[in-house]
Amino acid sequence: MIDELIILFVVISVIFSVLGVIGLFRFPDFYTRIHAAGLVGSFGLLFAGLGVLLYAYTLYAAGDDAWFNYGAHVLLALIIVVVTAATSTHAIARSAYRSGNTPKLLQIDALKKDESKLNAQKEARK
Amino acid sequence: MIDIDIFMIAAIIFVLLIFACGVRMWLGPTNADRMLALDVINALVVIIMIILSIRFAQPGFIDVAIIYALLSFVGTLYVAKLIRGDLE
Repeated sequence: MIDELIILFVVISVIFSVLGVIGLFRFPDFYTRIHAAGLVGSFGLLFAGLGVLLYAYTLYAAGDDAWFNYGAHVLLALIIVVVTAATSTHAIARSAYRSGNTPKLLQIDALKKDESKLNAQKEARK
Repeated sequence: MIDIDIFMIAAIIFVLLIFACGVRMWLGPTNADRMLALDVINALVVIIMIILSIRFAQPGFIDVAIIYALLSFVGTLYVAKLIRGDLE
């Protein structure tokens, strides 16, 4: 029962990663490719980690205490990657917008309007 | 425990995906696309380290994966600053 669950998690991870990399090639724009990259960073990694955690837990339940430490390390790695992947994606998107790479299908640039308003407020405060 | 070697097959598929992301880095129209492809490669390397650590029963690989994730995060933030033009 639990073997099939581990295989299912790993297969889900592989499927999501393959879909993410295909999306990295098929999407037309940088801002749409971010969506495909997030697929690999979230679902691909989380399900692979879940499968490994389940495997380590079954070995721990079989009586080897060293695998509990191992599972804690895997959990720490997953938490670190989940926190840092969101932050780095945000930083890349922000720097791409600031460097003049506007989206291809954009019609109304609301962010530009907001930023010009913010700059005007900053000037008025000076 | 599991009779077919599912973790090794998954690791081989992830290595092939890393090569595909390398093609995206080669083509990428803008610098931001290249950085995004490198971010995906970093995530895939962490997945491969975690999977191979359970395949070969080596707990030390997990520690390497944690350090790799933190260092790649710092590198991504630095290159994002570079693309934006804050570094003169």
